[in-house]
Amino acid sequence: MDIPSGGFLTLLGPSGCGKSTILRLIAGLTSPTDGDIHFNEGGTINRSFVFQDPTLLPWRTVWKNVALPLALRDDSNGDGQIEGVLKLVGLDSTHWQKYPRELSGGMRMRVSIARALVTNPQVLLLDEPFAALDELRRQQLNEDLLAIWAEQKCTTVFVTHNVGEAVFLGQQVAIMQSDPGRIAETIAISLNQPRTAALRTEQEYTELVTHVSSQLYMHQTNEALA
Amino acid sequence: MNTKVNRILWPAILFIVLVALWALAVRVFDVKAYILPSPSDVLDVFVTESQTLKSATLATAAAAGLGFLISVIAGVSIAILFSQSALIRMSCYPYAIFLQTMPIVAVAPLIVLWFGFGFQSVTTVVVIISLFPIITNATTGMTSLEQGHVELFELYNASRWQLLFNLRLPNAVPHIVTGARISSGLAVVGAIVGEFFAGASDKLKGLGYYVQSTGLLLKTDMLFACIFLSAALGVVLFLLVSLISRGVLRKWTFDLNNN
Repeated sequence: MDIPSGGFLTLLGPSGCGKSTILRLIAGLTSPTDGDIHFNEGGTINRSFVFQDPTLLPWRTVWKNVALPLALRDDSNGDGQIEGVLKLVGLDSTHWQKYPRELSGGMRMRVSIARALVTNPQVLLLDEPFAALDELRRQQLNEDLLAIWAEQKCTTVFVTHNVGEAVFLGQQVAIMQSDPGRIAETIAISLNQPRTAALRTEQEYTELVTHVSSQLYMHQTNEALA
Repeated sequence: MNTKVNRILWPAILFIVLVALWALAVRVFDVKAYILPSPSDVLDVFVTESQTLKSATLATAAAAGLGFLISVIAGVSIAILFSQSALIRMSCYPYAIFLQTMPIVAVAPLIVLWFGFGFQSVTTVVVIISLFPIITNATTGMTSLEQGHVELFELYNASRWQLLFNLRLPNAVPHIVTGARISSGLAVVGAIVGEFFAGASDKLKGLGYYVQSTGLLLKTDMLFACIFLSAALGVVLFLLVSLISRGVLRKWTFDLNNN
């Protein structure tokens, strides 16, 4: 599997097919039993990970949660950077001194994304970040995430089991299969950028969703027959 | 009527009723004062012995307070050590439990033998009795971390110290507070027990010493006053810790609501 630099890849597949495992391998949270992961630049790369849960520290304010990655690097001059990413994810300054428990689920996820962006990552990895949100919030965050990606230009890998989300976000959709977990097919999504909410009602989009759905279904059935 | 007033009013009414019954019973059955002094006898002692009782309460409060502070500091330090390695935890934990199950009354004479009569022995007894809840609660708080939080720190290659100060310790704060609440009550018990055995030589004799000596001398009215003050002291220390913890926990209120 190749992920082009600056691209947006969505990993789509059923539960238990190893989507998250691939993401965790790229993040370095899990070690590969076999094989290698290469980055263009070689050596280490600046990676950020957005977990399925916001994983905010409840005793830190929004601001301090976002500041955490910088604090762990002993980087104390990141105030401008923190302010920048908070605005980028759509949190205005009235929320910055709040604690996570005072925020809605969607806002917590925004903080979590801001925290991932604060280190200026070259690679952004997201593990079903919006799975727990209602459909409306999920769509809103999808649109916002694309805007963020367009601005940050970081290589993005997004894991989901939602076909609509995968097509809406990805330049490429990699369909995964389970037992053994592998990538069955990669489909290029040639929808124009920037993609906005209006896209969801366009025929081109709905056709792609149908196509990807049937491919996903086909790969699962093939595997069941095999 | 609002509940706050009710919460004070009804116990107060019950108190007056009980004291009245007590006074009545002493008079009707003609109970001897060394078995059960009347409420007015006890009240008299509070007036005539007010200097002694005041200094005794202060002495006990000092021992309990200092011992409690040492327990919090030592308990958290030990928990930090425990949190660093499962091996250390496994090796030491049985002895921490041992510390808890040891009957303090049996150990107190030994402490007197080692540290002599006086304040230092009393404080040692306080520490021994109030240390355990802090250790266990703080250790739980520092080791029961959310997987996602741990991975977050892994992701940024956080050092052992960064993990300790930014995740383990803050995560343990609500647990430490719970431990401190339990310990605050135990600290007063420890001070009384300590003074019972080791308090005779202090210039400022504590409540525990008077509990022992007045009991032997059948000065039951004084004994009653000491018992009452010991209990009151425990309540005061508990309330003080609760008050402080409420301030500390404001950031952590999500945990208070769950408890």
